Amino acid sequence: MTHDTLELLIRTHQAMVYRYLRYMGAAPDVAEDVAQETFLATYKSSSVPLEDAAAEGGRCAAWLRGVARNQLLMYFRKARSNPVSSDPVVLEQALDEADEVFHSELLRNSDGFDYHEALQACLGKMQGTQRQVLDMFYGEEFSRAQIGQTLHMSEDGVKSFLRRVRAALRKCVLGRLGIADKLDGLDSAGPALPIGGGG
Amino acid sequence: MIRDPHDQLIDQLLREILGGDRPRDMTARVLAQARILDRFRRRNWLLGGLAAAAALALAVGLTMYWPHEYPGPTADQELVADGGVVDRGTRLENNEQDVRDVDLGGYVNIKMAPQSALTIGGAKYEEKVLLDQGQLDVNVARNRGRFDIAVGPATVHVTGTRFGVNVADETTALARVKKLLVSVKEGSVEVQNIPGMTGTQTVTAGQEKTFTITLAQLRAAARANAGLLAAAQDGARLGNRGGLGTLLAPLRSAQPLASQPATPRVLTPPARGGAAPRGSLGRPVQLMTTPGNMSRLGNVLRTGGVFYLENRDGNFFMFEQAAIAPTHPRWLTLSPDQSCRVVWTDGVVTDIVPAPPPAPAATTTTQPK
Repeated sequence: MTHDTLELLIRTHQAMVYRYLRYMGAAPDVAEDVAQETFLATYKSSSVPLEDAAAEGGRCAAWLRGVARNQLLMYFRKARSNPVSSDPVVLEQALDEADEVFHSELLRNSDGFDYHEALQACLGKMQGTQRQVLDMFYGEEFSRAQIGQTLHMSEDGVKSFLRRVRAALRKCVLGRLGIADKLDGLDSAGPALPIGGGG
Repeated sequence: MIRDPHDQLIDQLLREILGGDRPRDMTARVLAQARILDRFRRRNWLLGGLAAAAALALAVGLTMYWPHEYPGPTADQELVADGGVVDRGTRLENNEQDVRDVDLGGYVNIKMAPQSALTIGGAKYEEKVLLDQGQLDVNVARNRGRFDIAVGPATVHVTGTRFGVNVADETTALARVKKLLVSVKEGSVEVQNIPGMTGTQTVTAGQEKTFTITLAQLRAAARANAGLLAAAQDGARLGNRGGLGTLLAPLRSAQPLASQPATPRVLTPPARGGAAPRGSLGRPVQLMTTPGNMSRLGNVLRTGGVFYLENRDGNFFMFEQAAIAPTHPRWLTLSPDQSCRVVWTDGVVTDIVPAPPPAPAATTTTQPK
């Protein structure tokens, strides 16, 4: 592989690889390190499917996610702790399950851009406390305790509220994409809040 | 804690959209590491190549220098007139029709022309034959060892080549001589110690040179070098296959016969314990024997071309210049003080007839018949 090809791969796929690694549970610095290792491993390999290297949703992207998943698994195994599970079997199963959701819900044989757009649209409709909590938690990076103090809620209450807001957003996204039949995984989050309400 | 992957997906996308969670551009960093990797790869290739070359050189060296069993002399058994073994010290005589092969040390091939005669001498990697008469076509592999052909005092020395040597008796108006003809097909050979010539004569590919050696010079060389025995001695000293060398004390002797050629003599071995006669040529020598005849080693005396051996059983053996192996049938067993009649013609023992065992009180001198 030439340096030009490697540069093309990095520029095209680094955001996707990073997102994938963060989604799988890697902290931001860990995700960057593992992403670099992923591209270096790709550079060393002679079996990279380069025919669609410039496409974000093709075989090359899938190959890179596979390498990233293995690199992250190795990192978690070497690390003393990880945010997923200390049991190596459970860890691997959890990564596999997350990988399955990433493919079937976000990508759906594409690059996941439509999912991203739908989420932004749903966010645009969100108002009141729901939006305020999201902005404080994700935009201002307040802790749950700080948010609870501001909004006179308990920490667990903030946690539960955030989970219900995310469930509502997912329901909205799937509805916009016309794939509402994929609505599973909401049981543990409780009933989704209606988007646009004051919470 | 295991999180719901659906919730986790929305969570991550919200971090991107609302929190700006995106990676720093890693292009420059990864490309820099790729360049470092390239340097390591090149170095590893170089080191791998060097290691492979070193391993190959080691394997070749081990193969070349690993101690192999050194091949002994081999020749057609019919060349050995008395049916003995082919070994150093054995005299080979060819018939009148055939060209026969002799192989020495795995690197010398000799084709003996009809009516040729030679004796095998030399040692490991220093093969040597003593050519009495006839024609030899020799092929010596390069870089395997030395090879010499001795003709009287002259030596044809070679390290790797193809050449021929011919020795023929010739009678001139003044003397009987041996003509030594050396013809080289490949490489070059050196001819050393030619009587009357100084230095070394080099014969190169395509050349032929003839050298003349008189019989007197041959006899002198035989006296000086102990003839074929010296070759066997060399071989024994340097570790011949199956040979054994022993430094031995001199034995009292009869008078040398070579000074009175063509005169039959009666030789009487010295009685044990007697004094060495004046004029004795006795000196410490080494004698090669075969593994099955160890007991025959003993004190050896050379007088001209005749050798006496006193073995550990107290018996005396007498043998000619041309037959030096103790198993040779031309050895005669003489008890102490027993006489024998020796016919010596032109420096060569032509007949040996033992006398009946004598009465006690033997003499230790050689007496003309």
